[in-house]
Amino acid sequence: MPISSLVVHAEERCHSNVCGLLNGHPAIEVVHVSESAIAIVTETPDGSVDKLLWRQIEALSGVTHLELVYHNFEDGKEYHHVS
Amino acid sequence: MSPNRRDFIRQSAQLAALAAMGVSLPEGAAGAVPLPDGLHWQKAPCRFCGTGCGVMVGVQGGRVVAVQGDPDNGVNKGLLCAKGYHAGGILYGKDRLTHPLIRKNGVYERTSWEEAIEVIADAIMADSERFSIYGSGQWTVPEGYQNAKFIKAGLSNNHLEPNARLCMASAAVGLISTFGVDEPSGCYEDLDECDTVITWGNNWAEMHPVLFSRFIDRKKALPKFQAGRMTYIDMATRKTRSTQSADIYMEFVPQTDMVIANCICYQLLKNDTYDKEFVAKHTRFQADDGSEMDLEAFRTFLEDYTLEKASALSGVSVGHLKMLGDLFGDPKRKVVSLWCMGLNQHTRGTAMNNLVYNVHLLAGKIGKPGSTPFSLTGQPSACGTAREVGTFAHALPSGRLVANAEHRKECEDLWNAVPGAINPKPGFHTIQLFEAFAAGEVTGMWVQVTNPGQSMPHLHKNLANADERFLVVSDVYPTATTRLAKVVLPSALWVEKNGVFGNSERRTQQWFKAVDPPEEARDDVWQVLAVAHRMFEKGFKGLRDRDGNFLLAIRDESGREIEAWKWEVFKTVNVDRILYNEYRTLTTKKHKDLAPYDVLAAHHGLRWPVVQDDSGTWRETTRRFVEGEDPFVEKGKGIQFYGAKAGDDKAIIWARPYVAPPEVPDEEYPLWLCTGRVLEHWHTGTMTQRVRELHNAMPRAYVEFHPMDANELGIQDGDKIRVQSRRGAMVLPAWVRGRGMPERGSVFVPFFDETKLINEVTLDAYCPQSKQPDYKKCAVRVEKVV
Ligand code: SF4
Repeated sequence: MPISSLVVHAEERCHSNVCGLLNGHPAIEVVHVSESAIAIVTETPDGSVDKLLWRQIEALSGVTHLELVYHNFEDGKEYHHVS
Repeated sequence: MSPNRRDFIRQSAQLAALAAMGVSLPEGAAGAVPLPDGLHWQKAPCRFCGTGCGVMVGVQGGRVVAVQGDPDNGVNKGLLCAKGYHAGGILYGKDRLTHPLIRKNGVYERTSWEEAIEVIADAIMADSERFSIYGSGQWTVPEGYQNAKFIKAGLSNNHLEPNARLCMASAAVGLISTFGVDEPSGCYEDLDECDTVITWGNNWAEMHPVLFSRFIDRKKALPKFQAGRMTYIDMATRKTRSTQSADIYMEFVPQTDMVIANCICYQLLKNDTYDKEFVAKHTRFQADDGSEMDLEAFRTFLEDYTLEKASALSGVSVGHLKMLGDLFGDPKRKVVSLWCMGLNQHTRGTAMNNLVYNVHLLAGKIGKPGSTPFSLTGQPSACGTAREVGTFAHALPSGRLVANAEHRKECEDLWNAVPGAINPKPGFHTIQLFEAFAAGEVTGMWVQVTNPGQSMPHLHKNLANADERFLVVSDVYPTATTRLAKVVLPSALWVEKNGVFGNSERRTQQWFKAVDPPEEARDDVWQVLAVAHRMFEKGFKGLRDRDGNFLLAIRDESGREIEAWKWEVFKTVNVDRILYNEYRTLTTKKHKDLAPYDVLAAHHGLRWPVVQDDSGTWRETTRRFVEGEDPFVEKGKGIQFYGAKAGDDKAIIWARPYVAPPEVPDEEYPLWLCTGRVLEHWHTGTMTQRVRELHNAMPRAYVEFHPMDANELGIQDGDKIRVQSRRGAMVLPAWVRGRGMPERGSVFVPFFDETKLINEVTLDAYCPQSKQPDYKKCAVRVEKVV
């Protein structure tokens, strides 16, 4: 179950609409809302679904960009540092 | 995933997002994370940045299994950033170095500690005058202190440098040239009392996130009518996460921060809004060459920095420059200036530090709650070890200098070293040291707690031939530097050993070992002690004291020597306590008094000078040079800059002219390149790249563009871009609407990624006073790679 947190930046006029859409999504928890950005946590069944979800968020009307600030997928493959 | 684990991960994710937005947790949130029973908790400072947050380390079954913010630590009061929360994970990367290795015929072979020590001791003895140690601001205080003793009195060559030369040297020389002594006089509480913060080329939201939150949370919590007065001004050459929370962003042409500071001073004098009483009582003026000047001559010097001239040079609007002048001229404003690498990694870094002090001194905005210039530190003990212990080529402990006969004698006496053991000639500063190593003028180097194979500027030049020299590297994971070494030694890391760090605000923090290092990894203090003792056994004269005994002997309270060079003995003794208490005696003569080890152990950090009051209680100093707070300020003085070299208790206001950078964009190389760090990774990523969550959040380096530049160049996110300078090239993926936005005509590349060594591209020109190189400005061109 990958768990991630992101900061969603949206145009001011669309802010509340974007907030509403995010709030209504079962895989998304809105953690904090400021005037210019929305902090969310996403939890999805696997790594391909989370990337799809981020693309959907990015495509929401008024969203200018997303920042991934935290990502964990420890039920996936063991992490090996690649030098 | 277990429910507890899932909750923990979710909470980490929430905290990371809140930190990224500049919002702190509700009180006690960290403690609300469900934790397994049966943990033993103990305090430590965070292993990473110079903010120096306190963490509580949870140990179970001999492993660190949890980390939370220390609610009793005055720095962070329980809050940590994403790196801090994952500090425990750095111990458990899969490729920890666990055995000594020696390169034979191009292949690393496992060897014993005995053989490794023998090989190193023989190599040093064969050419001790040309052997060096290169360490860092991540050395603990006892590690740095023992190395100083070994190189300065044992090998008598002064070739000891920390990587702090690359990050803090300009700050140190700036403070010494203005106030006569190193280290900031202000404290973090000033962020709780100021109404204005100005960052000078500093992305504190990512580099000092907990301090950023401390101010931004306060600002956000105020009702609107009060919040209006709280102002955050971000002056920079790149929009960053810090900018997102700024009220005003001022973009300036690289290097013209010098012009802006001088323009503020110009306005203070022109508008007659400078603090006349403060200036008359506490300052004097000096020209760039060090000669005395008066206020009128300084006024004339500033004529080159009128609003119009400064605006034309810096690109900052006249309105914004005027606003800065008015703000500093307003006696009611309480202003904190913050800076870090943006000012220090600058070919006029020392001058730029002086200029910020000029502004605050003229405005009288120093030594008052909420008003201070404050140089932030990058590394956890750049202040405590590199600067205070004095692990620089010219320095001796606690502000002493190798060139000063009295200082040499004080150290030789304490160490019982043979008179004259300390060489009066400074060793090589970092760039010189690596140039000399490349040229074979220095034949041996022991690198500890740092990774110059990735972090040195102009790598092709400065690391040339390193694999042909006698290079020893003590580290915890394979790095770009271990790959060049003849001998690799596995080190204990963070809470696998005892330690003492000193942070940005003069706070010294002690911790005890919490878990054993893996397999054969051993403390750096022990490694040096074991090599030095082997040299002593083999008859190396430099390691004999005045009585013919071992110079680095570790002695118990009765003076009996402990055989601490034997690992089995070392493990049973707190050698840190002995070394630290010995070092402490050198701090008490220079107004940098540190608390005794056992007092530190009982506290969550104490800011020096720490002295005992009449009741016997040890008191820390919040603001230095301020009567009533600093015990060394005489009664009735109010403010006393007692470190002043002239003995007049006055700080120096320097006439420092703008000097253009040594390399600027031209037709062939039309863009500026700025390099730097990211929130998730600690410097070269040696530790944080091993923490899955941090690696996944920021796996690889990138080259960041302004969207309009990208558009003109036909560059999109993910395109492979070759960044080429006169020195080298690196191919990186493009990031256009990324975390930051460089100015038009410039690109930004972080240096954490060992697969993308951007320092093959950077310039190694340095500040003439501090010898600190400029990683923030050089000229490059870019091209798409198909
Ligand atoms: S701000 Fe610095 S010291 Fe504090 S938790 Fe983060 S990395 Fe550690």
